[in-house]
Amino acid sequence: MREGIAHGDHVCLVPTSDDDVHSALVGFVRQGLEAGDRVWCVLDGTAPDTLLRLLHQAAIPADRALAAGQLAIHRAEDTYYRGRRFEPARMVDLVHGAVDEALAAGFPGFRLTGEMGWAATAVPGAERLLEYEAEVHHVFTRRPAAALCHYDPALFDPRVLAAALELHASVLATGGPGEGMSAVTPLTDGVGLTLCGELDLDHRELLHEAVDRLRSMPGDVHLRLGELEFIDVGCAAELFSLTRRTGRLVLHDPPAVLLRLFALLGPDGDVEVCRS
Amino acid sequence: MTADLLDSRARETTWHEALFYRTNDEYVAGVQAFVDGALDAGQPVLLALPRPHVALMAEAMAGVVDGVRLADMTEIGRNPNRIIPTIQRFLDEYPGQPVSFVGEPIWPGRTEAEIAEATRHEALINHAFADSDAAVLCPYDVGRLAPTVVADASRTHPVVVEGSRRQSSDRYQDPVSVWADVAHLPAPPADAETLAIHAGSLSDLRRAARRLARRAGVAGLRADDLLVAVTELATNSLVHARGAGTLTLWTEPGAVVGEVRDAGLLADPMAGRRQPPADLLGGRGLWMVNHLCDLVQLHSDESGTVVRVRVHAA
Repeated sequence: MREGIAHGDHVCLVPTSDDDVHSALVGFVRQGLEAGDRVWCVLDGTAPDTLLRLLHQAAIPADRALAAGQLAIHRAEDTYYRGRRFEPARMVDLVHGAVDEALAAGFPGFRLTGEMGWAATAVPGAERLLEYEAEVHHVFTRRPAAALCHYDPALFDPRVLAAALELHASVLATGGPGEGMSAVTPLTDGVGLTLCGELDLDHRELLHEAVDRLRSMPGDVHLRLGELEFIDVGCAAELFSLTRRTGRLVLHDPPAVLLRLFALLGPDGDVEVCRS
Repeated sequence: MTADLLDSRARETTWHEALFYRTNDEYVAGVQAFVDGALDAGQPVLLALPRPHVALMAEAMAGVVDGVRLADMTEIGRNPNRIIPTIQRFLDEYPGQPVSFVGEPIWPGRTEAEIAEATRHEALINHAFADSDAAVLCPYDVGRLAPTVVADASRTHPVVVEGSRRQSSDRYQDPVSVWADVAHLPAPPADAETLAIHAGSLSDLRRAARRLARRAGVAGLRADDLLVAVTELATNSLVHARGAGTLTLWTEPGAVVGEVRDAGLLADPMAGRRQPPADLLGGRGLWMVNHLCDLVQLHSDESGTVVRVRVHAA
C-alpha cells in the first residue's frame, strides 16, 4: 500500500465515480490534519455541505479544525477563477502565499486539494490550465506542500487530460489517498513506474498512457510492484507489451498473479524478476 | 462410404472419429491402428489421454516413440475448453503438414457439468478444424459411460469406429447447434450470494470472491485465478453488456463457483478458444478465463449471456 500523500507530492486523481471523489477528499483531509498541516479544499462539483457531512461521518473533527484555521473550504470560483477569469500566475501566487501564511502561522506545511472540473468549461483563461499545472508543480515539489488535483475523465477532452496528467508527479486512479489507493507513478530515480493497489478496467487508460511514454525511452524499464495487490488481464497485457521493446523489462517484487498472467500472455522475452 | 472418407482425407480435411470400446484390448487395438496409420503416413501424433490410458498406451507402444507424443488429458482437458487450443498449437508446430490427434476428453467419473462441456468441445472440433489438416480420434468407454453420453458422441463425430466396423454417424449434427443445445447448469444453491455488477464495483466483487474462495479452502494462486476470472467476466459485462450484470458466488466441496449473467450476446462459439494475437491488449479475457479455471460453462442467446466458472482448491 502506498503511504498516502507527503510534502513534495503533486498528485493527480482520476475519479470514476462520486464515491472516488468523496473518499479522496476525506482521505486527503484526514491525512493533512493528522500531519498537522494546514489543509485547503477547493471545491467545484462537490457542495461544501456535502464535504462537511462526509467529514463528520468519518469522525474527522472538521469543525474544530475550521475554527482553528487548520482547515479551510473554498469554492473554485473564489480561488482558481476569482472574478470569472482564470489567470495562471495569479493562482500560482495565491498558492505560494498560502504556503507562506501556513508556515508563518506555525503549521509545518500546506496541503491543497482541488476539483478541476471548472477548467473543462468556458471559464475565460481555462485554456491556460496546463501553464498553471506546470508552474504550480514547482511550488508543491520544492516547498513543504502537497496537492491532489481531481480531473474527472468524463469532463475533460482526452488530450487535455493526458497532458494534465503528465504535469503531475503521480497519478491516482480510484480510491483516494491512503488505504486501498491504486496508483500509477513514474519513477523519479530511473525509467519506469511504481504500481500500487488494484489495477483493472478503471485504470487501463491511465496505465496505457504511462506505458506509451515508456515505450520510446531507451534502455531498461523498471516496474516496482511490491505494493501491487491485483492486476487484471488488460493491465497485465499493457505491461507485457513492454517486453517488445529492445531494452530489458525488470519486475521488482512482482505479485504472483502478474507472473501467472505474463506466462499466459506469451513467451516472456527479456523479462527479469528482482526480489528485494 | 469408405471411399468417401478416404476421399475426404485425401482432400486434407479433418477426420473426426469416435472409437467405441469396452475392454482395454479393444482400446489398445483401436488407438494403435489409428497411430500406425498416422505413422505410416509420416504424420506426427499427439495422444492426450487420462493418466491410466497414457500408461496403457506407453506399454503397448514400447519402443515406438519417434513422432508420437503422450500427454495427460486430466491436465490438458480438465477444462475441456483448453483442448482445441492444444490441438491448434500442435498443428502450428508442423506448418503445412497433416497431424493426428487422439483425444479422450470424456471418461467415466467426470461430473455431468464436465461431460456437458466436453461434449460441446467435441462438437466444436468439427467447426474449429474444418479447414485444417488434422485427423482426430476420440475413445469412448461405451460399457461404463451413460447411454446418453454415448448417444451424444454420435452427434458430435461424423464417423464412429466400433471393433472392425467404421461407419459414418447418421445422428451427426451441425456442430454449432450441438454447442448451443447441450447444457448442464443446475440452479445455484439457496445460500449463493448475488452482487450487482456496475461501474466501480470490480474491487467489491473481488473482495466477495476472495471471501468465498477462503471459505472453500481455495487459496494462493488458485484464489488469484478466481479473482482474475471474476474480474474479466464482470469487465465483459461492463464493456459489452450496457455496463450491468450480476455475479453469483457459492462454494462446493473443495471448489468455488462464480457465475456472471448479463444482457449481452456472445454469438461466437469459438470465443476464448482461439489464441489471441500477441500484441492484442483487450479482448483476451475469455481466453485467460479458460486457462485459469477448471471448468468454464458459457451460454449465450438473445436473452443474454451466462458464464459459470469453477476453481478447485488444488
